[in-house]
Amino acid sequence: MTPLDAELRRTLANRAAVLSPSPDPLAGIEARVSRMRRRRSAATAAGALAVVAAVALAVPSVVSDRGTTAPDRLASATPTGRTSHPSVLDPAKPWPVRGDEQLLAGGALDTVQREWARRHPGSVLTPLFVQVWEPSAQTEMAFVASGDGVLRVGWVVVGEPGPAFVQEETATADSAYQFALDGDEGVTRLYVIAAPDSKVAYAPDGVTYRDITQTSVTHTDGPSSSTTTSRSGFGITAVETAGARVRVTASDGAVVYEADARGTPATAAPANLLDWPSRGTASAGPSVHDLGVAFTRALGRSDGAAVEYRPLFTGDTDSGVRYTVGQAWFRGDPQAYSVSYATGGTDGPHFFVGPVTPSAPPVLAFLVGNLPGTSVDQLVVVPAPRSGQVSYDADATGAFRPITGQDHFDGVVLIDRAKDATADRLEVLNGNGELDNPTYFGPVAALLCGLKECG
Amino acid sequence: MDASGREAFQAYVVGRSPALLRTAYLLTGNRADAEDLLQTALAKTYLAWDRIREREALDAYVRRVLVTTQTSFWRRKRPEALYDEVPERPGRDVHADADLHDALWTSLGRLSRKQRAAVVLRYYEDLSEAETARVLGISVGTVKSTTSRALSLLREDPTLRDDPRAALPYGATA
Repeated sequence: MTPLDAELRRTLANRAAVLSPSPDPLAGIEARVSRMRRRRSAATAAGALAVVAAVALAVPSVVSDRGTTAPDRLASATPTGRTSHPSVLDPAKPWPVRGDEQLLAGGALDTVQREWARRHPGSVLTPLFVQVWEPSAQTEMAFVASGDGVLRVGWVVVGEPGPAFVQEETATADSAYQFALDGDEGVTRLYVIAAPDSKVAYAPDGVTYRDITQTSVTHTDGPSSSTTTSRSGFGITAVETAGARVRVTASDGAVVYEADARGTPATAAPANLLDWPSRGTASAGPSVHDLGVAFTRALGRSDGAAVEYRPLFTGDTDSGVRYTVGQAWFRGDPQAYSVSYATGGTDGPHFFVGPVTPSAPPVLAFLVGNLPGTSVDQLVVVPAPRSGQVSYDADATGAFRPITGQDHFDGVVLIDRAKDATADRLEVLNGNGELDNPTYFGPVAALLCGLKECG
Repeated sequence: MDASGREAFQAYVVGRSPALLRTAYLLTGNRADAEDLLQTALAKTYLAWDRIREREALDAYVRRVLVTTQTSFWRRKRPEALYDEVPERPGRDVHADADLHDALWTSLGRLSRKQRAAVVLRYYEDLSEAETARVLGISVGTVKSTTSRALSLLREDPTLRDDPRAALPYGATA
């Protein structure tokens, strides 16, 4: 122990010791639980489950297919109203952002927009609504994006690993958009976003509408204070979605949107999607659009299904090769594949599609080849979070060499691997560093599996 | 949650909140934020109470919620919290090393939340590197590098740089 270690311990202990306990620790907790529950839409005293949260923001016009069953917004982008009404979203000048706009400061919006631009070159994302979803304590945004000839709407969650676009779809200009999301404890959240000053109504039974006239929005003012404001035309409520309908009325009284309430998104993430953080250089990596094209070709899909991609690691080699490794899947499919994609090599873009990702792999590994000016490949080893030391045995002699990764790679290591290597091995220790209990000990080749074979 | 669950939760809060408040205080640096953080963490714990199966590991669970809430994105949007003023303290605090402790406290407030959390878990809670890694949700290697970086920053702090007690022993490395 160094002198600083000892002084640090004493300082922390001394500072903590002078703190008197709170007189009534339960009081503040109860208030917060109540607030969280209001957001969650809790069960009523009668035992009926309340469920969806609807955000009504709004201003549309034009009469819709009133009295008829409007298309499910998941399956169709057909607008319910005439596109000439002032309430219809103008992609060139979207509705103003609503919610807790302070959440956009501090680089959050910039991060989301950069990630979006990587996925859809030329498309610019504009937030429509931003909030912190209390059960997850994560910032969420509803957004619209255009600029590349395609109008898209979606929902993004900004968590520790980075932005996760949990909903994304092509759309047409309309007077309202619905976003159905997984809520807490198995319930669905439904957000209806329309133009400012519109009114949103909801019919649990599909017939009897009730206005969602008030929405409580909490703004964070400082480290320990917040204000809650209620505004008409911006409502959050609790409803059930099955058999329910949503209707939006413009400020001139015209019903501009009417549709079945969306259910749980069919675009739910695959069950084998890893919750590992994205590591490496977030701004690097090749075009995700190109990766999607390559993935579609590799899997032989021709139905135009949208490709989703979640990077696990992105980086650049010294020789200028940009690469990314992660998981790709077709939207709506139940399983994701392990993939890698590299550009800037000696013979053009290189795409590799691996097998369906195991549910809880101890480690993923990929080879980046075609590196200019070198005779070796780069082996990218992505251990599961909280793994320990990674060691490499280049020629199966048992001489494992500890590999040190860069700090900001958070456990991911890069290894120069001979092109003719066949018997090299890898060892990944667990988070406790126990030598006799590695999470992976075996040949590298077993980790380099394609769709049908390894090696 | 049924009545017995509520009673168990209340008993837990009453019994453990003084200690948890101290940890929250060291994470945030001031009392107001510490109470805010602890109440939020305990409210989340309450809502998850029925799903927490290992009641003997409750402290570990709450500690993790404390740290993740403190370092979470929505809190990061605020400026880094300033540590409160060093108060006038009787008794031991007039000892010769009080100046060093005050300087250390101030310097801790300049660390990032993640670095501060690593330092508090390692040097106040006395958690092992592996336990700290589990609480922070990072690898042991990252715990080592984060803690090492935090200590380096403390040593390089202008208020501590010339104090021999903050220096490394001769020949040692951070």
